[in-house]
Amino acid sequence: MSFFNTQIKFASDIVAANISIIVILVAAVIYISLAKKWKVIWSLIRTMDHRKIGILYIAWGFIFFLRAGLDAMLMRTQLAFPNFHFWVFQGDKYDQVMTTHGTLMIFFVAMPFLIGLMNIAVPLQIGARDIAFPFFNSLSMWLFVIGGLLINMSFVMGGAPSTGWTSYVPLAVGKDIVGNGTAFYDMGVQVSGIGTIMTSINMITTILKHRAPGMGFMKIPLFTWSALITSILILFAFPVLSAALLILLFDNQFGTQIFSGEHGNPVLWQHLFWAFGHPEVYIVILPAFGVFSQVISTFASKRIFGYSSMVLSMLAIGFLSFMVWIHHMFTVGLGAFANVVFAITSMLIAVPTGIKIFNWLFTIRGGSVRFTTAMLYSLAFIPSFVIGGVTGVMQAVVPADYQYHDSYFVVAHLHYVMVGGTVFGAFSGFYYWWPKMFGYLLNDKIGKWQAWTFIIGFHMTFLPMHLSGLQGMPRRTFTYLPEDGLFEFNFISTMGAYLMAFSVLLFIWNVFYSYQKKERWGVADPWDGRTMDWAVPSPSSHIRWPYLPVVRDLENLWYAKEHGDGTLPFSQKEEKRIVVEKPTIIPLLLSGGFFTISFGLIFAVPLITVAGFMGTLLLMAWRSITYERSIDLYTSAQLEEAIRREEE
Amino acid sequence: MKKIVGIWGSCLLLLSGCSAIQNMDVLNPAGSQAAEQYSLIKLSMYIMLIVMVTVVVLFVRFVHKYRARPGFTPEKHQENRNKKLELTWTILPFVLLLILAVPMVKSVFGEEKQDNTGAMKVKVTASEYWWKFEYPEEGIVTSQELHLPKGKRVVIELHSKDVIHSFWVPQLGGKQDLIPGRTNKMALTPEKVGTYQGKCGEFCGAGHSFMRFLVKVDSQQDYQQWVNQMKKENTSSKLSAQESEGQNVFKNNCLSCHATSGVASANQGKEGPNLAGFGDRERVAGFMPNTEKNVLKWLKDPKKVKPGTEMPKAKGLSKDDYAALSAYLKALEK
Repeated sequence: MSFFNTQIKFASDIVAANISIIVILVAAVIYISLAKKWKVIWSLIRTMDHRKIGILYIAWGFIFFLRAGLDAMLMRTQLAFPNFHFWVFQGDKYDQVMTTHGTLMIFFVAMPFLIGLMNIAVPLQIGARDIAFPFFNSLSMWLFVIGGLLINMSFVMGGAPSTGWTSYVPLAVGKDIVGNGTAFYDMGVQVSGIGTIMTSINMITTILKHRAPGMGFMKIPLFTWSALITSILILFAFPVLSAALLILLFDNQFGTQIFSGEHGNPVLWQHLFWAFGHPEVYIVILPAFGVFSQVISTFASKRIFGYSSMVLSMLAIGFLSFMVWIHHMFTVGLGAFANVVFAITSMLIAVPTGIKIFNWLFTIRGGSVRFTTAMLYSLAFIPSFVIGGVTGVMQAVVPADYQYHDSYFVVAHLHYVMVGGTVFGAFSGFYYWWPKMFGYLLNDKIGKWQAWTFIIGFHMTFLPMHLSGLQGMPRRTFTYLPEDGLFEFNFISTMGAYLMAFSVLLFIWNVFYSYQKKERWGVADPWDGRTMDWAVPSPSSHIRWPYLPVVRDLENLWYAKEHGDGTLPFSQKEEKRIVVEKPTIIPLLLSGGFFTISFGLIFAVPLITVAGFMGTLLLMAWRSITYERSIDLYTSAQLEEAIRREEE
Repeated sequence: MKKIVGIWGSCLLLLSGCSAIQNMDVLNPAGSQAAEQYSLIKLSMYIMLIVMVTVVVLFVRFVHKYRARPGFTPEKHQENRNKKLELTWTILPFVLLLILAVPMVKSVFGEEKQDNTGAMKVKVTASEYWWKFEYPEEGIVTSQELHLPKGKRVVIELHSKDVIHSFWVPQLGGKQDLIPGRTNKMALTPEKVGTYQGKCGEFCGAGHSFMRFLVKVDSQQDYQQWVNQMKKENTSSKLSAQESEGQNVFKNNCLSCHATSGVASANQGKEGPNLAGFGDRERVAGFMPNTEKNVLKWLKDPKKVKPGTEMPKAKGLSKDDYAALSAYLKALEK
């Protein structure tokens, strides 16, 4: 079939994908209609509430997580046996699945999970009524969704990106592209990247300008600190990616030959990509560090050990993360001096990271550890992440890296930090903040089964990969030969991957099970919490704090529990102008505009692109003109009255 | 729960123990560069083991000792800072990193300063998805199987025709990228006679998994003999009837891309891999055992065997033509 000049071949896998898309959509529509949830959906897609936007981030992230996880299962099945032929997943089909897995997991799973948690917890932790710019916040979220949908759609629309999530040039420009793969990758990541940059501005403004009275910099909870530092990293790193993607688009669609061709420099793409890509690694790990700091401190019932060195080491990691990118390029041949300089800066990152590990350990010492599911994930993180960390230092040894580079050793390393760090952190955060999101707890017993199967499956999958790498297995290969001696390692990895998939199914079951049981409904502080997020009702309400809480300590709620009855003192200041944004559909429509622009660019139909631009500009103008009508203004007294009415 | 972990753990150890870790390619070097890389890998593993053990010991002890349980009361005085401890785990890592960094820096600059006079030269050109090996000093060309003499330093010049590839022979040394428009250099010094696996390290498209080659390290004498054979213009003088029929098929269908002589001048303008001495090669298409069955499988539908390959399907060949072609290829011996 021809679709906007792109050939779509209906092979068995494409047909299966199309059928499952239709089945899932129809099932969703039937479920929503039967459960009479269309009103909920309508209010959810127009929401300006930071909690609901956070939930949407996580929900969409989870949908993409399932897709990228399915890709992982297809890959692991194809790799289970030597010279295996599983369905169609060899050659460029495998490459499409592999690229989609990587791109989705980094940009559309790790990022929204963490940004979602930031949205939910940061305003509560610092005593803010909402994120600084709620409209922006909603738009950022929808741009991320659109970007993710573009990447997801590509598989059934002529071909997914197939050149790895790093999309190296000249491979990504030229005859090796399947369908419009690179353009899908380019626009999908670009559009969501715009949203991410807006989020970072939003977070920085919120944390710098909207802290409750009394919260000096050294009284900011560690999760919020991590959100602040991550946002600063995003602000500096993502524009580099945006520029690189723009050039890649030009090279692809207009033949500009900046990275590719006779006049282009393919190494330039690598520099730009990794100048973004390495900070990106810390962008997705620092918020996870923040989650661990909150969770470990809460469930060890103890103040975090070495708070100031925790903050300083995060700042150091953030700073260093911008000057290590060449360690992804040791084999490019940039010369001994460049390699050595960047090897040493890379090694240095181990120091602040080590400080954090020991601080977590010594937070446990002298405390009283409660093994909830959230704590289980945080504890499992410590040894897992240390394995990922030490293999990282090993790769900073340049000559040794000539062996590890682009082998399964690297695959093992990156999954140890991304899964053992980021995904463990995300799950820990879900179990921890679930009551704040939905008002009830996730079941702890199912949770523990889920956590253990996930942790064991994780080590089973990725530990053997170190060995297959040392046995000479290059990454991004879809098969190996019987005489390579790789069968055992790969088979164990595949079994581990299935166990992880089972664990994810357990998580889904837990969500449905807990939704029906609604354990400890509405309890504001189910964990004996220490920070202000546990001082507001569960789930947190959109309008709150007519008078802002006064911050006396880093652990403001704990301080109130120790020095009184556990209620926070509130400021007496009467505020004249409290802005609450009304729900609006404009962010969703705007993201539709961006989708149209991207669609036109991907399929090279200028008319559609122009229409998209016009629509986007019109919507922006409309928003500017109607701003005064789209907000509610309150004084403190009026807000107090409104909250009382809502409670009744 | 602990039991489950134990069982899984021992399964894992048992299974990975079976495949003899000490024989892994990277940990079993056969060249001096790989040996030096291996020694750095060992050093870093030992240092990192110290870190791992420290963390795990503290972790297990703290989590066990301070677990909440009936009758357990947490310590009254809760320590939230301790200058001495914090200084220890800030300074000690620096010391460990220094122990690792010094030999690393020495090794990198040591390799850079190596004297290359008198070293042998090989020019490697990678394309989707095969390897061309040129010996400019000898004036010969081969593909897919790189022959090297034992005990001699070889400077390898790396080129790429299309996308980025990476030259990797784990037992002889780590990778170096082949980048279009750039020339990279690396050196190998094989120390043991044998056949070693080579692979493309950098993802290069659909056929990346099969972009493999072999390195045959021979004694000086055997290597020289191979070079002399390759220098002969014609490798197939006495052909049977079927084989000469195959030669005709080859001339009509294959010769425009493939040369059957190893002499450099005969390879001018040939886009495909050189086939001199093909009958002696261990593999066809870079990864399958060189049997008649595999050769036929490859010739009949190259794209199915090796995704993304540039090799086209020959048009209008009969079954007999294929058999003759395969017989002729087999007859291409030293």
